[in-house]
Amino acid sequence: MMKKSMLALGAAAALLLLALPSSAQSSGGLPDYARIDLRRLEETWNLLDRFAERIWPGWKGYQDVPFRFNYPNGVQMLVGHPSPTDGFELVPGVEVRGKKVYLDRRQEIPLELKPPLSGGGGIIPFGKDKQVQMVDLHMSPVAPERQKTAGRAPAGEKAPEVAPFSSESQILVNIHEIFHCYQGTVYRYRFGNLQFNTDADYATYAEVEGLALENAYLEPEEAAVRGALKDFLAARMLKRKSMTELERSRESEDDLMEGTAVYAETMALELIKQGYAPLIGAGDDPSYNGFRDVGRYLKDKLNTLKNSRSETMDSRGKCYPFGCFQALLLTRLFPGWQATFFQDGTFLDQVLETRLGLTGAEKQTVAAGLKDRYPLGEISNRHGLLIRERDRALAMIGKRKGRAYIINFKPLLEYVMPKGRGESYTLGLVNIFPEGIASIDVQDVSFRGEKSPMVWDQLYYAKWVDPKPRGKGYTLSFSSKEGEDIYYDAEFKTAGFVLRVPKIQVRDLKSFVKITVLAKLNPVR
Amino acid sequence: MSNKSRQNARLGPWLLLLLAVSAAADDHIVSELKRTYMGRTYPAQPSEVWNGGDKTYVREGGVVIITRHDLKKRWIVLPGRKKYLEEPLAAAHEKKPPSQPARIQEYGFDYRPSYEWSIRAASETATIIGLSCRKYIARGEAEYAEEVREIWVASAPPIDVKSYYEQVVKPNLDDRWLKIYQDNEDLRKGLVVKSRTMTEPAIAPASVIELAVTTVEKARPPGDIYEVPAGLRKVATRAELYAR
Repeated sequence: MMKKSMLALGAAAALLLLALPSSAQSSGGLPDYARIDLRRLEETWNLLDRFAERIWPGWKGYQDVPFRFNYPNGVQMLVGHPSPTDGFELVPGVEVRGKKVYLDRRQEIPLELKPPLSGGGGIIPFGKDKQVQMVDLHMSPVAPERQKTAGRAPAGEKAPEVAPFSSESQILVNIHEIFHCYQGTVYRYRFGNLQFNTDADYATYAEVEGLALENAYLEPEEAAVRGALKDFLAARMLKRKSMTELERSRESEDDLMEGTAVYAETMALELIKQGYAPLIGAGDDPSYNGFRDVGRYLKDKLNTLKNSRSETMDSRGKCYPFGCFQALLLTRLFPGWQATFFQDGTFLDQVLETRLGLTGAEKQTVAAGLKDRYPLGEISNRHGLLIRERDRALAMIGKRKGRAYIINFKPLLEYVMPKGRGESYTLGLVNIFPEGIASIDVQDVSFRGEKSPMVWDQLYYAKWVDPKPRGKGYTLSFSSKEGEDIYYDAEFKTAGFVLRVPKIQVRDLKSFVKITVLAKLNPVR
Repeated sequence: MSNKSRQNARLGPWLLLLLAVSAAADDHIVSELKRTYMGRTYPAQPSEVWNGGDKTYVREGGVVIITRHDLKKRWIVLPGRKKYLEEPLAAAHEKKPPSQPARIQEYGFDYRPSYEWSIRAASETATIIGLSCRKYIARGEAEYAEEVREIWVASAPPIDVKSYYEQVVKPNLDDRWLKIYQDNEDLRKGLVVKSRTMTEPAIAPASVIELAVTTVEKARPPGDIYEVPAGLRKVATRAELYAR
């Protein structure tokens, strides 16, 4: 099959395949990293065979959700899809529980991918002739510092702050995303994701919400749990004063969608704790420990609540732990609450309010007493300071006029993380770096920024405005050129940054200069 | 009476009838729109335009827009949902929303590309649905998006191109495309019969939209096409119109 494919691909493509690193060509035509993802998927299904009905009554069909794995070397793997799009070729002899596996290698570049890989993503409709809801994951190698084993830090070296990676977290991602597909069969999604930049009141009362949820979760006495949940609902009422009706609905719907998906993960962990025999072992996936340290992942859920509630700028990210802990507390106080929950179309906070019998008058009383139970002054001062800094950064960036440079990283098929100098402030999809972006590194692409305000916008684009451009404002050196505006082995230099890249397109327009990064690997490595 | 005079006398009534039909006939253009996104080409969406000078009818998929310049109003009709909205014509040219919202809570979520366009005539010519066409290539660059449009323009379509431009094309042009049309007589006096638009949005994957005109003719419009069909409920706002 490999020989036939190579003939079909032509000589140039065949040479490229031969040049691929050996780890990318394991047995069965499936790269090692892809084979591991299939084993993790099998383990996910094995877990759900055991627990799905106990995680959420009626949860079926989890095995019929197709998956697409997108790798940073351009390879895509599709599993169990009834109608693959053009470019996906069947991998002969490879099936997972009877599900066919396809690879699309048309965009493959010779980038070596060493396991373990991890990734996130979401649900998308996909298919050539038949569209179905599918889990779409963007995978990337786990950073070396996250591969260290916990507790093995050499003497004198600090233990890693971030817990070391293990495949259990990827299996939890699989459960989360598959649960989203289940939601789509029983719940009618109405409002869309929350799009809301926080203000000082929002951030303050969101932190109180999170504190109240933690108190309720840790509280052994039922009456105290109820009291803390009423605090949560009262804080939510105060938090939402600057929100529109649509924003409130979106926030509650996000709690429902993401919160119950995290709840599915958490319930799976609780059930694993009671006893679970893994299907796969270290031979299948060296990063998998069979959930031996299940307590660590449960603790992570509580830590996420603690960290998220105090994030000043973040509104949407709070729905994951806030929704999850509302669901966990509903389960504790009102077992069986899930029965028609999705079908009813009510939100978690509405169910809580109804089941707790919280009246409007009582909510006002509870709200008035929050200042006695939570350090509102300290919380408000902390958030207010950051919000004012954010607003100053926005005003500053808005006033900056001059020659604009846009660097487009979208073609690189990677989630790019700029390393800033000092603080950064987020508004919508705009990330303001008042002290500039220090560096961006993606394989052979290198961006080095000066101490000058910059923006990272729309996930993939860096923007710098030169207030005093001299002459053309930039220099461009390169080894070779193609057509009018494509350059190889290029260095693009301004007073604000230097970009070195294997292949770029430069378009010098009236309003801005746009530099599109077209390749991340040098031809000879 | 000469032979020629006799022939004219015989043709006279037919010629008059033909002229009468032609005078009563409106411009009629039918096209299909196909979208390809993430490896899937969606079923073609039919589109139909009737232009009667002071009144136009445009149907795209399930939405019909009837513009009545004579009444200075416009109806947006959803026949499938049995609803319609009436707007004064002035609203059709309402002020553009500001590029950033007034509320800081909404800032930065809604990126709308503002393209810097360049257009050039390509060397290719072709005959499409019997009409001589020339290809143009327009390239739009925005900070975080780009778009390339390949446009085939028929130079002598059998319609009232001046009226079609004023009533149908011009109201849908943004400032930058209006300038392109104003500077380019071929576009202004022609008809786009085929196009291919490749869009690379800021975040989402690229998409391709292909338009193909299948009919260009002068014809008598069916029934009361420039009126709101009977039995439809009038609503007050766009939100109400599009609410499910």
